[in-house]
Amino acid sequence: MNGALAGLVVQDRSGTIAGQFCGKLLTDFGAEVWLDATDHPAALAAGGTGDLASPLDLHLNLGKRRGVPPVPPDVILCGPADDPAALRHRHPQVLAVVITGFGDDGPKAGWRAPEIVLQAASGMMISNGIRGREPLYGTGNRASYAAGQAAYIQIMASLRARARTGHGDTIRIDAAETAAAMCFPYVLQAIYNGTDRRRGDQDIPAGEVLCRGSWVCLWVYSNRFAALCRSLGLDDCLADPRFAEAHTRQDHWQAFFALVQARVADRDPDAFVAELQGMNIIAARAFRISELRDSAHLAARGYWRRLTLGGEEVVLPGPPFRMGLTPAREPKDKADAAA
Amino acid sequence: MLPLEGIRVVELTTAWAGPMAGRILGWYGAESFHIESPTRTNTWRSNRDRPNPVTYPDLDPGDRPWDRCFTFNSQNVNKRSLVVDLKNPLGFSVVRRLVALSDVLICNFRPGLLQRLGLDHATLSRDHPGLIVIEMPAYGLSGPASGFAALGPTMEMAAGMSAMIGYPGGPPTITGPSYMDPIGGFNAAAAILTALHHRDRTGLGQHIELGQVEGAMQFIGPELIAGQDIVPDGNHLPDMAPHNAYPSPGKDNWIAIAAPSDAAWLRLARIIGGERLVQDSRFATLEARKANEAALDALIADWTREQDRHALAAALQAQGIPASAVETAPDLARSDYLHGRGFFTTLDHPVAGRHDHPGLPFHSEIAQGSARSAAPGYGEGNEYVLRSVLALPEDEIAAILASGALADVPAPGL
Repeated sequence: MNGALAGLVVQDRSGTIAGQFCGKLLTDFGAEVWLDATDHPAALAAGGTGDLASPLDLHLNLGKRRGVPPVPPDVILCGPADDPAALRHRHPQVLAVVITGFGDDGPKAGWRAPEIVLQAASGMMISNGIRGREPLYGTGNRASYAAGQAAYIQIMASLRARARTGHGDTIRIDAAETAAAMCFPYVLQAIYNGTDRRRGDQDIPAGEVLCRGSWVCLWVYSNRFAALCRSLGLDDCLADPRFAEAHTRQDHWQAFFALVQARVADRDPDAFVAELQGMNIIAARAFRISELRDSAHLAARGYWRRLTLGGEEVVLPGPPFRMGLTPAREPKDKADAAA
Repeated sequence: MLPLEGIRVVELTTAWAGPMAGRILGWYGAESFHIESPTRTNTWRSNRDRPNPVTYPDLDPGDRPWDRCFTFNSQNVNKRSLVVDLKNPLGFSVVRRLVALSDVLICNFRPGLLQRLGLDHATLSRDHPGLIVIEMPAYGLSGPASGFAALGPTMEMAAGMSAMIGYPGGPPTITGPSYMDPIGGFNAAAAILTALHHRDRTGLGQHIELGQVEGAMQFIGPELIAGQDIVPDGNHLPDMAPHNAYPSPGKDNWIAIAAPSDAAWLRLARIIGGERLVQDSRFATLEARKANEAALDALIADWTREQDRHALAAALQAQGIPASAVETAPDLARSDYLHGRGFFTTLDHPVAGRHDHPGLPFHSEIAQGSARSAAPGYGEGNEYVLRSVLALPEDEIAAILASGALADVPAPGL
């Protein structure tokens, strides 16, 4: 087996998105990961139905083997009922990884933690949406995925320590704490001066306009404002006192973007983005899921992985990063479909 | 002993994603050098468009505002700052020699920068096969969009995430000022640590390409595999009701409540309205609650409107009902939960002062990282690099300093 993590044996008993995503990353980069669903056969992928080859299961578990590893594992991604101390007693050199919502001690120990709760508790949610309306949680399971990523990072660090000391480890990751660590650092600002910034007052020179069939996001630094106005025939804005200075402009972005909107409603979004980028104005199209598969950029990069499972073609996202010497493992048809 | 003690990292980075990667490595004990330009200041040291008092301790920019900005100071703990003009041959020579003595080079600028500088992996690895170089441009190093500039919000749009989030009928939503950056920082740290694991066994470094948009798309993998558009519906989900944020006393205060099952709803209904609500057929099943979701939300909002969000969340959780106050930054700064986890470390910054600093979420018995020093002042590490790392003779140091290659104050107007 090739890959940076070749030779590493992992037992994934987690039954959670966070744990199984961590196991997926370990799989991608060469570890031999065993999906051990002994205690939760109906929850191969947490939150899923347990259906074989569901999108969630494919994403998290493709490439994992099924069952219990035949040799002592280097890493155990613990299930909810697992006792890491007992596991380490059995395997003194193992890294026992415990991922929970709010930890297993402290004032929120045992709190139930679906995504909306994690994002509310972490400071992530109060930054999203329109002031005056309910804050929005970020669709998907981003706090859980982030917790899986955090576990992967700590495993890599702990493997270095284990190589030096010979000792196993108990790794603890909270999804709520992870999500807090990934928020814009308004907490330090609050500590610095007591201010409380949230959605609607983030002071960024950005906005969105609807082009032909798709939204485009623009970020207009001061030194590109004149170029944008001229390119859109909005030269009058350069003399408009509302837009004369960066700080006045910030207070009138809505009015400015309304003017931009009127000029670009019929524009092709990709062509508009390319034109803006050509002027060094930061912009991007808001791709829908279905549109990403047709992205010329992703196609040119060979991003998508395609394989046949059960007679059907499956399209999978590419690896999170590309390692020159030890590339991520390519998924195989059938034999590697763990779940 | 920290797990990355003895590892030296050079960062050609700016803003958040790259510095966060270096911060994670520094957390684990790496000696990290943040390379800065004397003429193009890191945007996180100050908002060049609109310097704002709220970014500084005590609302005071002080004499060195670039050393007091919360953004830079949040992501650059455990590092040293080397401010060097890479267009100055002596300055470039300093960086080139520093990289030669280092293990990792991180770059989060657009593709091509390292090659133009002659600091690309192909060039450096000829003499330094153990070097790990990571480039982390938004769209990767190839493809028609690879030259596009990007920031967190535009990357979130490009990744397909923003189109999944929004009020019904509204535009795509970016989450926070820049949610994609920390995903990029985590991915970069994960990649570097993976490469170090490989190097420990083989002695070989490698080049890593992290297209940040692609890396973040892992977070919506199932949706990408399904290939079907998600129509934004606020906080509502097809398989859970209630699932929303509800008002609480005070200005813009909210509590998130979810009922992942009929049983959870019955427990919540009993608390809100007793047996009468438990028996209400409009809400008896998930299908019924989805069909009457507006009425359900209104009923719950009327109930939460007069209740303290923190106390109510704790009371609901005690009954097995998922809930949390929608926490604000000040809430988190005094959070018993985060303080109990050891999330904050008090650090002394010579210019910004003594403050608690938010940390990282990694907990281990044998490889526990830490925040040990506050973010560096601008150019704080210049002389340390010349004398202690490169061990240059005094006459060469004098020549480098006299050439203007290094700085400890940004050029005028920046």
